[in-house]
Amino acid sequence: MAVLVACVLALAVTTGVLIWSRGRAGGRAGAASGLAVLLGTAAGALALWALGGGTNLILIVLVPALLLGLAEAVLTARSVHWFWRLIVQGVVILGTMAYEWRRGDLFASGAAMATVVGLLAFNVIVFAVGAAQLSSAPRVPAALGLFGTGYLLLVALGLPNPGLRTLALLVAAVTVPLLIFAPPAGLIDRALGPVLAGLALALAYYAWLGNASPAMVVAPLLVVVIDVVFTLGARLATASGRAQLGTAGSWWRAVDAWATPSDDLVAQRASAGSQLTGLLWLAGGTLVVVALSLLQWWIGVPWLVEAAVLLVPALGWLVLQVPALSAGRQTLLVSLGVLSGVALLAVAAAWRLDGRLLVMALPVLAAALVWGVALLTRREALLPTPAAV
Amino acid sequence: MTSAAPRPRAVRHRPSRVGAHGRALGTAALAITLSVALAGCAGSDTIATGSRPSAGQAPGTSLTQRAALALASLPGYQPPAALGNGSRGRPLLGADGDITWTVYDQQNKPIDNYDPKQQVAWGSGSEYTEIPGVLTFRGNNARSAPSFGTANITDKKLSIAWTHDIGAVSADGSYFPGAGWTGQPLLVKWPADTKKAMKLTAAQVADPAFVEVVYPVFDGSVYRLSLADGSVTRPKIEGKWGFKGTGSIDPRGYPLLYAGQGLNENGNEKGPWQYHVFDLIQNKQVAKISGTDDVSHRQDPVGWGAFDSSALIDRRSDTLIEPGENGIVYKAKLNATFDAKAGKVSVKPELTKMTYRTPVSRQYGIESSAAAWKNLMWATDNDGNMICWDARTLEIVWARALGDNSDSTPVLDDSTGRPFLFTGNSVGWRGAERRDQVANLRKIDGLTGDVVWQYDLPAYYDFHVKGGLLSTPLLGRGEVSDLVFFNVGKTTAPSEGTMVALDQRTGQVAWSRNLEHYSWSSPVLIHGADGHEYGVFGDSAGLLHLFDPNTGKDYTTISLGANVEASVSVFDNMIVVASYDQKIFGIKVS
Repeated sequence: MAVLVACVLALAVTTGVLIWSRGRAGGRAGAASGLAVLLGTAAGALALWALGGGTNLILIVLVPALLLGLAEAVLTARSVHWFWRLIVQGVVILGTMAYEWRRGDLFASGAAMATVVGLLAFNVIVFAVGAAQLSSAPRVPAALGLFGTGYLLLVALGLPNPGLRTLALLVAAVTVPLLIFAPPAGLIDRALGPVLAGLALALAYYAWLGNASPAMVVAPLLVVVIDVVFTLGARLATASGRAQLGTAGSWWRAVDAWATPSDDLVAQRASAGSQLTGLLWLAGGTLVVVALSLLQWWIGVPWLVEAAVLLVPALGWLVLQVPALSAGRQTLLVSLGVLSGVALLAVAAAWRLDGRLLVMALPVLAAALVWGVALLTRREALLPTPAAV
Repeated sequence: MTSAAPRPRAVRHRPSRVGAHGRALGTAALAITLSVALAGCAGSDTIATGSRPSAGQAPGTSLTQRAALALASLPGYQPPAALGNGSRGRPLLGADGDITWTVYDQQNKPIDNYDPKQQVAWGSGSEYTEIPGVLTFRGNNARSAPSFGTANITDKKLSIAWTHDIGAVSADGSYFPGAGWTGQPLLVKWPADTKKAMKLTAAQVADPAFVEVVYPVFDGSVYRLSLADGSVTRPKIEGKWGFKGTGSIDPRGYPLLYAGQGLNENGNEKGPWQYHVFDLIQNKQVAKISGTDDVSHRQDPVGWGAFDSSALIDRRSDTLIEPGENGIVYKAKLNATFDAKAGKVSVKPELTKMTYRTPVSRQYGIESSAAAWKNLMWATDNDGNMICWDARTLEIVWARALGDNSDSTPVLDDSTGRPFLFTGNSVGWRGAERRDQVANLRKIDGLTGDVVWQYDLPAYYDFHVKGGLLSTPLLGRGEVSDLVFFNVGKTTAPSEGTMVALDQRTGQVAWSRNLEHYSWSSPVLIHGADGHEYGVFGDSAGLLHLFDPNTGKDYTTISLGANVEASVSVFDNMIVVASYDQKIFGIKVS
C-alpha cells in the first residue's frame, strides 16, 4: 500500500510539474522535465519513508542520485568545464560508495569498482540523453529508461529483493509522464540527462547489490553504451574528429567539447535517414540484448560469459548501423569477422567457466543472429552481385 | 578504421532555456533541502507491528518423559527400503527422489541391521542436565534454554562488569578474532565435590553461588573464568586449531568438556580435524573423534572435517550424539566414569556412524546442532535437508528438503505433547544462481516432517557471509510464550537485518524490526524477577541490545567493540559473550 501511495504521489508530482511548466512556457511544454522527475522522485521517496514502505538502502542510493543529477544540471547550466564536473560527480559517487563500504554492504574493492563504473555510466547516459534531445527525440531516453526499469522490475521479482522492486516502480512512476509531456523539438533540458542518469545509477547499484550480475544490470543500456564509446573513440581516432575538436581553441576546451553531446552518435546518424527505422534498430538491438540476458539468467550463466555473449548482438548493432562498416563488402566481412572472434572468445570463456554445451552454444547463436540479420539487411553488400548474362 | 568512422559534426554548446542562474540555484536549494530531509530518514530501526492472535496463551504445558517412541507408532510411518550393503532408503519430502543412508561401526564396516538394545532418549528440555547452568548450545536438548535463572532487573541497563583478553587465528583465507558463530559460552554451577576435584580455590569450592565460564574460542584455547569477576579459575587449555561452534559439558556434572574444532589452520600451519574431549580436572584433552573419515561423502575437494555442532548427551545411556561437517552423524558410547573423591574422570568413546545422501546433496555437512525429543533427533544440513533420525538405531525416520543451505539449529517445542520444530534456511546456492533470495522460516511437525507454516523473508546472497537465518530461533516463554523470534541477517541491505516475532501457532507477524546492523547471534530471553521477559542479542556492529520482546524496542544497548557473532549465555543477572574485539565480556544487567 505504501509503495502504491508513493508511486501515485511521484507520478502526480512529476506530471503536475510538467503541466505547470507547459503553462509557464505559453502552451508548450517547458524544459522542466528534469526538475519534474527530481521532485517526483523526492516526493515518492519521502512518502515511502513516511509510510514505512522503503528500505534504508533506497534512501541511501536515491539521495546521492538526486544530488548528483542536480549538481550536474546546475554546473552544466553555468558552463562549468567537464573536468570539474567530473570531480564533483566523483566526490558524490565515491562518498556514497565509501558510506556503503563503511556500513558493510560491500568490500572496499567493490566500492572502488562501483565508483569507476558509476562515473563512466553516468557520463554515458548524460551524453546519450543530451544527444537525443539535440536530435529532437526527447521521448527516446524516457522510453529506453522505462524499458530498462521494466526489465529490472522482472529481475527484482525473480530474485526477489527487498527494495529493488519498490525502487523500480518509483523510477517507472516518474518516467512515464515524460513519454506524454515531452518538450517539443528545440527545447533542451540540461537537467533531464543528469537526473535520469542519477536514477539509472541508483537502480543499477541497487540491482547489483541485490545480486543481479553486472551484465544483467548493464544489459538495457549496452547498445547505447557501445554507441557512446564508439562515438567518443571516433572523435579521437579520426582526423575529422580531431580537426573538429581542434576548433575548440585550446586543448582544455577540446576536452570539454569531446565530452559534450552533439549529433554524431551512431543512433542519431542512423535516424537522420529515417527516424522510425533508426528507432526500430535501437529498440530491436536493445530487445535482443535484454532477451539474451534474461535467457542467460534463467539457465544460470556466469556473469563474465553472460557479458561476452551480450556484447555480440550489441556489437552487431554497431556494425550494421555504421554505414562505413556495413556498406562495403570488405569492411562488412572484416567487421563481422571481428564480431565472430568475440563470439569465439565467449565460447572459450563459456567452456572454461561453465562447460555446458548450451552455454557454449549461446555466443555462436548470437553471432549467427547477427550474420542472419546482416544477410537480410545488407545482402547487396555481403553477397557478390551476379554476373550479367 | 579512419574511413569507417562517422563524421563528427559541429561540437557546439546550445543555449539552455531553463532560465536564469538564480532559478537554477533556487531549484538547487529546494532539492538539497529535500535530499537532506531524505538523508535524515535513513539509519533508524523501524518496527512494524502486526497482531498477536494467541497473546498470553502458551501452546501447551505438557512435559515429556524420557522414553522411546516406537517408530511404527509414528503417523504415516513406513519401514525403510533395504538397498543392500547396509544401506536403506525412503522418499525425501519436498523434493523428488529418495534419501539413502548407511550405518557403520567404528572400523567403517557397514552394519546391515543396526539394532542395539540400549535406548537413547531425552525428555523435556528442563530435564536435560543434573547441574544448573547452560551446558550445551541453547542449554538443552530442545535448544530452548540459552539462559539460566532469574534476573533482578530494575534499571533496564547493561554494564560491562569484566573483560578477559583472548586471541585470534588466521585460517581458511580469513582472520578469525575473538569468538564467532555459534560460540555460546558454557556456564556451569558445579557441585562442591566436583569443584574440589578440579582443584578450584577453597573460596570457590565453598561458594555455593560460584559459576564457572568454560569457553572454547577462535584462538583454539578453552578459557575457564569465574562468572562473578572474570578471574581465571584454571589456566586456559591451550590449543592451536580454532573452535567455531559451541562446546558441551557433560550433563551428569562430570568435569568433561566436548568441543568441536572449527578450523584446522593457524597461519601457515595445518593440523588434523578433531572433535575434542577435555578432562577438566587434568585440564587437557583425553579423547578425540577424527573429522577426517573415510566414510564421509564430503569432498571439498580434500575433505572438510570441522565440528560446529554442539553435542547432546543422554546421561542415562552414557551416549553422545554429534553431527559433523563431514556429513556424518556420530553416536558415541562414552564409557565415562567420574569419581569425585578420587578426583578422576575417564572417557573412552566407542563410535557408530551414519552417513546419508539425498538427490539435492552437493556439500554433505551438518553445521546445526541437533535437537532431540524422546528417541527422535533433528538437524539441518548444508544441502538444505532437515533429517529426523532415531537416536538408537540411527534410522532416518523422515527427511525434508528445505530449499537451501540450513545452518540454523532447529528449536523444539513439545509443550503440546507433540514435537514441533522452528527452523529456517539461508540464501546459499539459490543466491549463487541469482534466484529466490529468501530465507524460509518454517514450523515443522517433528513426527511427520509436514510444514505447519512458512514465512518468507527476502535476504541478500553473500558467498562469504551468508544472508538469511544463521542464528537459532528463540522460543518465547512467560508473557511472550505465544511467540517465536527469528533473527535474520542481510535482509533489507547486505549490512542490515530483520528480527521478526511470529505467532507460534499461525506464523503471523507480531512485530518486525528492521535492524541497522544484521546479526548472526542468537537472541536469548532473560526471565526477570518482576515476571517480565527481557530479550538480548548482539549484532555485527558490536552492539549488545537489551529489548522488550513484546514490542521489539530496545531498552538499552552497549558496545562490545566489534562484531558480536557469538550467542550470549545468561546466568541470573550476568551475561557472557566474546566479540571480534578479542575479549570475553561479563556484562551485568541491572
